Amino acid sequence: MQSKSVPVPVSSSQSPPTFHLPDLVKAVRLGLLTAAGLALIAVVLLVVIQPAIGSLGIEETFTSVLARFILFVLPFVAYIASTGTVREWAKGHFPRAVLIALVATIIIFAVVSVGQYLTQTGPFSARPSLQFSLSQVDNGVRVDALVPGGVAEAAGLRVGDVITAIRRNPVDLETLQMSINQSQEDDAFRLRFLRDGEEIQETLRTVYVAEPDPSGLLSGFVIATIFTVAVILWPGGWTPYVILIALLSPLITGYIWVIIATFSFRTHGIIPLDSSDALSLQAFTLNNWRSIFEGDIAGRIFDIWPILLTSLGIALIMTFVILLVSSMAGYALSRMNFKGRRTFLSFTLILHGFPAITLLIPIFVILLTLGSIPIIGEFVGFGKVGGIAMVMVAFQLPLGVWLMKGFFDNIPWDMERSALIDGASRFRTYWEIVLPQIRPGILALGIFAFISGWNAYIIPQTYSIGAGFNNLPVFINDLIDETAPVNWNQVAAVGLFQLIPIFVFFIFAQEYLLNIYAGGTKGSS
Amino acid sequence: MAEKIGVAEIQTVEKETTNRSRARALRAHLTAYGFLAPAGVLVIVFFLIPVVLILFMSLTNLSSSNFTADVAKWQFVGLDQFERLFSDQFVRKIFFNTVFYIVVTLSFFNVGLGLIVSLLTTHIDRNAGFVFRALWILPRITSPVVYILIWKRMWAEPPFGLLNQFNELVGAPAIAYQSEHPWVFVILVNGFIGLSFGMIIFTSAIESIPKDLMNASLVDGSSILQRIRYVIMPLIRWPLLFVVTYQTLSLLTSFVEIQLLTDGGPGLYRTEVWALTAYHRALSNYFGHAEWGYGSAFAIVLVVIGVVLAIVYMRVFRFSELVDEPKIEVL
Repeated sequence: MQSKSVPVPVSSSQSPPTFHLPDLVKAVRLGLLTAAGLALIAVVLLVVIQPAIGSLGIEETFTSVLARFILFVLPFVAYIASTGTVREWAKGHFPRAVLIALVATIIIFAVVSVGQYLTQTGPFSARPSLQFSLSQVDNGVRVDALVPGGVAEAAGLRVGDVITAIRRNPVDLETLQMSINQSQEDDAFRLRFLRDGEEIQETLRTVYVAEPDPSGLLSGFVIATIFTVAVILWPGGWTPYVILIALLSPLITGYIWVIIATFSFRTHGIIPLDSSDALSLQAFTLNNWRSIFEGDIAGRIFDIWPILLTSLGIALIMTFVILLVSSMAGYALSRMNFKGRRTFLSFTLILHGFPAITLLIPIFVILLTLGSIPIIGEFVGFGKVGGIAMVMVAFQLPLGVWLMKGFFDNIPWDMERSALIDGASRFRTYWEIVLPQIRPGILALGIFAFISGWNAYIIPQTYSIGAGFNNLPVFINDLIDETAPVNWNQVAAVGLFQLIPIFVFFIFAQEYLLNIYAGGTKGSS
Repeated sequence: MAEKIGVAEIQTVEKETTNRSRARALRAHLTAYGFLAPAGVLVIVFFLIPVVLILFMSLTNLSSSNFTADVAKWQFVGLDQFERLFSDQFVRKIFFNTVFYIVVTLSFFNVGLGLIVSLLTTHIDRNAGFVFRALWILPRITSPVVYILIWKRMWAEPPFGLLNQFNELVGAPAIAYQSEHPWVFVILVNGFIGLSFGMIIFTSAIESIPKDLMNASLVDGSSILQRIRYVIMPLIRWPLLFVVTYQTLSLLTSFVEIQLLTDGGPGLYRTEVWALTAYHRALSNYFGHAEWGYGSAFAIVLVVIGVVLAIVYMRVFRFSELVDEPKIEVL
């Protein structure tokens, strides 16, 4: 047998050469492929999908926002892809790795920039401009040059004019530039300027112009190189955490805002301000919190205690009734065989997916009818806590019954059997023997029911129109809906007040919450 | 003698036993129904009767001008309301709005981000993963009013808006989100709530994959990403289908957050979805007066779609498996 002589590449397991072209090619290829793929998706979104959706009559901006987002992250994803191939062997060959990664990045940057130039995006995109060039002089901002035919020229500005202010606000070069950058198309700029000692005012309107932005290009280049090095050095274990935190941050910021706003007079975004627009200890206050109990928000007089009691009443009634009714029904469905069992079970499953709105409308009539029944009507009618609680119980019933049945299914039935043989009634067996065994299930469903009742908005809102009925969420909605301007900090205070039990449950009962909200799946968690 | 028992006596004993067991069976049945009664009453009063009622309502011209709770006084107009519905000039827009809303929210958030978050949280430290998943529950356990209050502050104009403060920080121009990008926010708002459902289901599916299987693939040399693609993904096909069907129904009927955030606007039905239209027509003074009959027609169409989807869902998930024989026969 002849062994074929295969040329053994000398370089592979020896000391690394200073530059290895195949590695670079691999990196560049993957980077460009990623960039091309993302660009293709963005193009399809803008050129195919958006018009298609628009032709159905839908007015949406989601597709264009998504496309713009993709185009924004495109270079960065490409750098990650190309540098990712380098990371695999970077350990021990660090200088070579950085070199190859940077060269790859430069190539990708060039290609992407060309693409941006051709499509007028990124640093080549149309930006707001007043079409003049400026410089800072002692008494203001001097107009050095005008774009012929541009808005500045058309408005009557001349070279040599010194801009002093926008309306009554004096400006320097930096603020003027920033205002222009942050403006929208056709925004009016009422500029005051000096010409030969005379003060003149003119209004200019911004226009979107596609001018290449060399500083933008340069900063893009610098960012790209720094980013590449960062990717090489990046501890891989950090990635999931960074992504998770990034996804959660808008949400968490929102909740933090509620807390900060409650305890401050005014907030700009998330920063509380005092009367001189600064962040200081004076910005914080307990007034908003106090105004809840004093019963006066922005001139609107109210009493928090009936509202609070109503909310509590709904929540407690719901909890108690749901636990009792669903555990009884769940027990029967789990333990007993009787005619109609299958029907009841399939029924509750269908009901669980039933549109609430379809029931909301006729239940209006039902509640009115119930309200006219003597005695019971006082508790269960329209605009009464009992009635509203019953409706909510009914809506949660399918879930509760399925959950309870699931919990019961998992309990071995020896103890019951012995109890029944010993002569105990079914109900006694259920109440004294089985129920204590599913305590976690009861706790979970109970918490869920309480939270649903405490948070209830649409059902109390719909069934209390004109009845002067208020629970906390309905009240908060009322505060926001006012045609008068809203004091958001005081509303935030009421909101925080409503959130307190929620936060308490959240901190102490997380596992239950996580289990229960997957609810409806095959029985127990 | 004691052993000699006549045939007649045996028959009597047998008959007595049958009678006794029949009585016992009856008693047991009554007990069962007794246990079910409270739930049954609630289901009949608040599910069955309303369904029948709304069917009637959609065949009447009930509105706030002739409103009465006395069913006998309702005026029947046959299928007029449905004819009106299908010839309404905005119905097409509202329908496609609804489809758009469900498809986008489902794919990007309920399923998409739900899957991503569950994959991420199962690949980091167990306790940290738990904390992240717990935080994602917050939207679900917050009252819609407070949740939307937060979002309204997020999209507010400068200097108050949280997002516009971020824009200022990074030097981007201020954006009037409410008037320019209402759909993006409707989707975000509902997506953040829906995300937690998929996240929980997928996480429990991933965590129930046998540890040996997970370790074996790594030992054999696959990377984490490869393991996700070849081991995990095939095993979550059922949970995926479940989340899709369940959340489709859920999104189809959701309207409270949209009502609070944009109320179907800004402008004419820009973010209006089908369930919200039913609410607007029947229960609110959106149009100056409430048209119960017309709104009911919208709701009925919604029910038809929902029921069809629910039946598909039950078929697909082999409902009979879930309703198998109970553990114990009646004693």
